[in-house]
Amino acid sequence: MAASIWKRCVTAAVKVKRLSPSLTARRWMLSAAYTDTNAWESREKDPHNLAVLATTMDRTYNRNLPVSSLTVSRFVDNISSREEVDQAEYYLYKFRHSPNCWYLRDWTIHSWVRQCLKYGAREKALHTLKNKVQYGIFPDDFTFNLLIDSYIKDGDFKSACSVVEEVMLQEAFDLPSTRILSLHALASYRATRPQLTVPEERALGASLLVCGLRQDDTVGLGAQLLGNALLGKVEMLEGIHAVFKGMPLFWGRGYLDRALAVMEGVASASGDVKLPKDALDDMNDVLQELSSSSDSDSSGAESTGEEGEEEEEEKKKKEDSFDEDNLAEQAKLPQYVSRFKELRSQLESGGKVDPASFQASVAALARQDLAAAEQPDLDQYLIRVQAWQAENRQLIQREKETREKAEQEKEERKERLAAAQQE
Amino acid sequence: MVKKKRLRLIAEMARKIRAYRELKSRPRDSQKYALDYESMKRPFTGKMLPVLAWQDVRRENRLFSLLAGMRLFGVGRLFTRKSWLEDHAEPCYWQITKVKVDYTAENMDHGKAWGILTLKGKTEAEVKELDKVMYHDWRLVPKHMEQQMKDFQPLPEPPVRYVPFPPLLRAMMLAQHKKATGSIMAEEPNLPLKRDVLLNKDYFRKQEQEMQRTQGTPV
Repeated sequence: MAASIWKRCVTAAVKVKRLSPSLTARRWMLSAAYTDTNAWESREKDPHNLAVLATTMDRTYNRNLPVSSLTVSRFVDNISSREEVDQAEYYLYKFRHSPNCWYLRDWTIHSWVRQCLKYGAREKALHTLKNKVQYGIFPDDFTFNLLIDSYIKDGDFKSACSVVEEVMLQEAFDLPSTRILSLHALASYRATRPQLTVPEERALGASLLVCGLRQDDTVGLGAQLLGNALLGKVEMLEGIHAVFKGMPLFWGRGYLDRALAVMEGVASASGDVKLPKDALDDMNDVLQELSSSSDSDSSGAESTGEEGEEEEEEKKKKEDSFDEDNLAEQAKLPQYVSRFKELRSQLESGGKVDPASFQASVAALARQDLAAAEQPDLDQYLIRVQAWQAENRQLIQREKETREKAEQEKEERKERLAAAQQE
Repeated sequence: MVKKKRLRLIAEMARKIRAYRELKSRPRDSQKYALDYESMKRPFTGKMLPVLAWQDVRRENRLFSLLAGMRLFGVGRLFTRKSWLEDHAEPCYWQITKVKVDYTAENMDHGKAWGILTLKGKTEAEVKELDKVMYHDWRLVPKHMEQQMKDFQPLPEPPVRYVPFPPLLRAMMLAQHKKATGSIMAEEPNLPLKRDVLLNKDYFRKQEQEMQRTQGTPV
């Protein structure tokens, strides 16, 4: 499996020279140097028998004693087949539900994701990432980049977007490479025009917003606009609590207001910032949809009297959760529509609308900045690998010392017992 | 002649064993604070939550429900409470420094946390245990709002005003001073309108200890 990934890297390394603007399935982002597994594989190994480690861990759990993070990291490092990936998942679950759950090491998480990618268990990695509460998998930036890239390489933008959602929940958009990759995944996913349910729209909007807030140029502002628009739509349909529950979002009402504020900011800014045209189009669509649905709601209220009991209860619950503030927001909708029209004409007259689509501008950004952004990441990563190895050695040392001390004490106790028996 | 009290060693031992067993069978946080969302009852005690809290319980999260999904259980992040957002206009938040999670909970939903409180813009100096952790009232402060919250400068407090003592008390104080030192008190005794001392459990306990030290035990 590793050999086939290596071959794909090599063939794709040839492709990256021809900057193909077409977005076929083989489009990929990170260079071969970034996704290279050599740096990781070349660190010193600590071979252990998985069965022995498993029995030790089972015994420790049965005796209600805490399992050390070193044992778990050794188990994950020594995975050598697909079935063992499943076993490791079980032990990660058990470790998370033990007193030592805080001490799950960064390198264990990194090596878990690497092993999943190596043995083709990418869905497993995604599953543990989605259930991070149960497994305790909180990858760092480099690992996130690797995972997103592997999904983009295969053109699976939906899963790439779910990984980006996880990055958003961790608010880990610190590195420019992460931001570029996530924006690319989100833009490509939107370009496929999927049918989204309201929770999916909320997740997409939230990822766009949180990513765009860290990015300061056309692409970032477009992402902020789109994110605010989608979240405003969810706010109108479901209420503000449905927007920020479980997500790192601000609890203030008026997401559409904030979207319009972004547009105003761009219109009044003196620099060269622009907004992508299709972001404005999408915002227009959102506003039209909301105003048409609110019109049909108010006119269709009488005709829904014959609906079944369940639906009535649901509607009532929804109305209870819609307190006065939500209704006030809905009342502002025509205002928003008119303000949007004004601001849009202002932007167009000011020449601040970028005709390239959001996706194309993200791709252009990627071409320019990704290579530059990768180098410091790689250096950071190598330093981090060294630090992890040093910590690993320290842990092994400490374990040896405690074991020696325990044996010494046992022997002393035996001698004392033997001496007492002799007397 | 009082009969000497019998040494009941076995009863003593039984008492110690009962205390130990009670200590060992203390319910874990996850058992104590578990909640049935349909009937709004706690399965451990069978008690129902107050009615005014029901809407909050359905809509908001406990602190550890938020912490469970965060790296390092959210150490170093800021958390507000919805009741503070409604009651105070100035930002109030806790910054988490230490977390002890109850690992027997299925979703790592319960535990204890320690942190630094900032009430109405005034940050305290020391780390304290977060109270009301199990209330369904907590909200995460997203990173893009953190700076806004921290930047808030509270208004300086107005200076403490002083007021003369009531006349009888003033006369008593002056007389006591004259008896103790023999000279007349130079300046007028003033009563500050703001008490420095917070009247809580620690204060009264300290007072009792001081009294015991100075006066000794009876007999």
